[in-house]
Amino acid sequence: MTQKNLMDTFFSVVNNIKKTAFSADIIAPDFHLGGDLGIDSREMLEIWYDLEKAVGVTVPDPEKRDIYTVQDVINVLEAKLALETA
Amino acid sequence: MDSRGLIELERMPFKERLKQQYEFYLKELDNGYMMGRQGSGPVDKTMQYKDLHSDEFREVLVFGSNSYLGFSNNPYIKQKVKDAVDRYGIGSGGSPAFSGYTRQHKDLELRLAKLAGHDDAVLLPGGYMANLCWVTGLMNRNDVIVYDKNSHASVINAIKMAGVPFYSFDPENLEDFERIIQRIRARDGEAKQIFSTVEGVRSVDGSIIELERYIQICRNNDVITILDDAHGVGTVGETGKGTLEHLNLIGQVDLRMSTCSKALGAQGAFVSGSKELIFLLRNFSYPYLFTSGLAQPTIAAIDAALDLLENEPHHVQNLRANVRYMQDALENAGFRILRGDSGIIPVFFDKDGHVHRLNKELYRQGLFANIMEYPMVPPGAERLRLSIMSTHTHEEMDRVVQMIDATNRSL
Repeated sequence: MTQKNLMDTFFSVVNNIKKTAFSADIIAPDFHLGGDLGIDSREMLEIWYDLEKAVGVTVPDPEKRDIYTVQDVINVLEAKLALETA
Repeated sequence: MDSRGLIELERMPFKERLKQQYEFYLKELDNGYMMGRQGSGPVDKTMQYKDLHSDEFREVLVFGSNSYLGFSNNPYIKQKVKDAVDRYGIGSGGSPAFSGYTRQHKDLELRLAKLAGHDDAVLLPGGYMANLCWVTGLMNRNDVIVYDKNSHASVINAIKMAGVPFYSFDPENLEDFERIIQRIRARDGEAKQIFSTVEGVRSVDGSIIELERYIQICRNNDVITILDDAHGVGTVGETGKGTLEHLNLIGQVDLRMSTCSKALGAQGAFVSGSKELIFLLRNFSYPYLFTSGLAQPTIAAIDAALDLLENEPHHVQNLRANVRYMQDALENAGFRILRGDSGIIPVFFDKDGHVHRLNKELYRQGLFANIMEYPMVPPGAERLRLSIMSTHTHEEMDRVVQMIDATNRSL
């Protein structure tokens, strides 16, 4: 899965849960989950749940802490994918 | 239960969810989950406690109470409450906007405001309400708040209620905090008012952040500051006025929230600030306007606690000396702790799950303490969270260190 695919998957999951219409045209990777996308820590757990299913990886809870931006999420998913395909 | 289990549970139909949650909770109680414990008698350094499935109360040493100064069972305060009941009765009879505001409320609010060098304050029934009060009373979707990632759940709930855009920051990384502020400014210019809240004495480990630098960053960027000093009032500062006095920063934050249920030993909370900010809260904040005013015995208890802070400095001094004594004793016994200035001493254990078993065994032996385990804290940072009281004796503290040491070895 490329960065772009991961980003699209991320927006699709967020839009489904938050009832928003975010896309790569309007959201930059350094946007904050809270301040820019309005996602709180509780909602983020649900977003992680759907992301893990959609991407086919498992992210342990401790690795979901201190994630502040869209790029932080993508980085975690990329690293997991790389591990699974290594 | 990990987050996956939690989400799966939440997505179940309600009746199935109810059944699952109920069964899960019962199992947790059997495993020693503390919610099942029930105390009896006045809240003090020794108390009677019983388990959920037991009828037998037994005495335990309490090292897990927020009543840091022992004020919840102080003779002077109890007498002042009795006198107040004779004089003023019990309930307030309504919300402060209607009939529930008396001279006693007003006098106490002014007295609490002075603790932070502020003009005025509003009193609320508890810390949760106080946080709802300032967030929903001052902010709306046209503002933005940058909150300490350790903020109380009530702050985060209030932010959602107010619909205010939010950023969280790690108070140990003030460079990142400044970057967030500058980013908001770059995007919105002066159009949005930025608010920021941070904990004074941190509830998880009793430490205090670089508050002076935090305030300076906020000043430089026209950010309105709110200090959550729930664990600071009565425990730190020369005369127990809290984190601002401790760091010589009285009058340097725009708003200060604290509770009257911890070191002050009663109930309720307050938000203090400038005349204008408090005027807004008093007249436009729903949690203040639509909740009954505090009852007279509670007002009398808080007022009497402030008398003691002013007239009997030994309470705060004893707490400070006890904290030092306990920190030394724990370190001498080989425990890893975090040395702070407040009444909270975290004792760290590396092995996940260990602190849960340890606490259960300590309770069985007659020690009541609190723990913080994953997911409240990161893995590897699980801790026994000891709360020291000014009334604990050296003998009691020595006994507790020995108990923890022996039990830790036996596990």
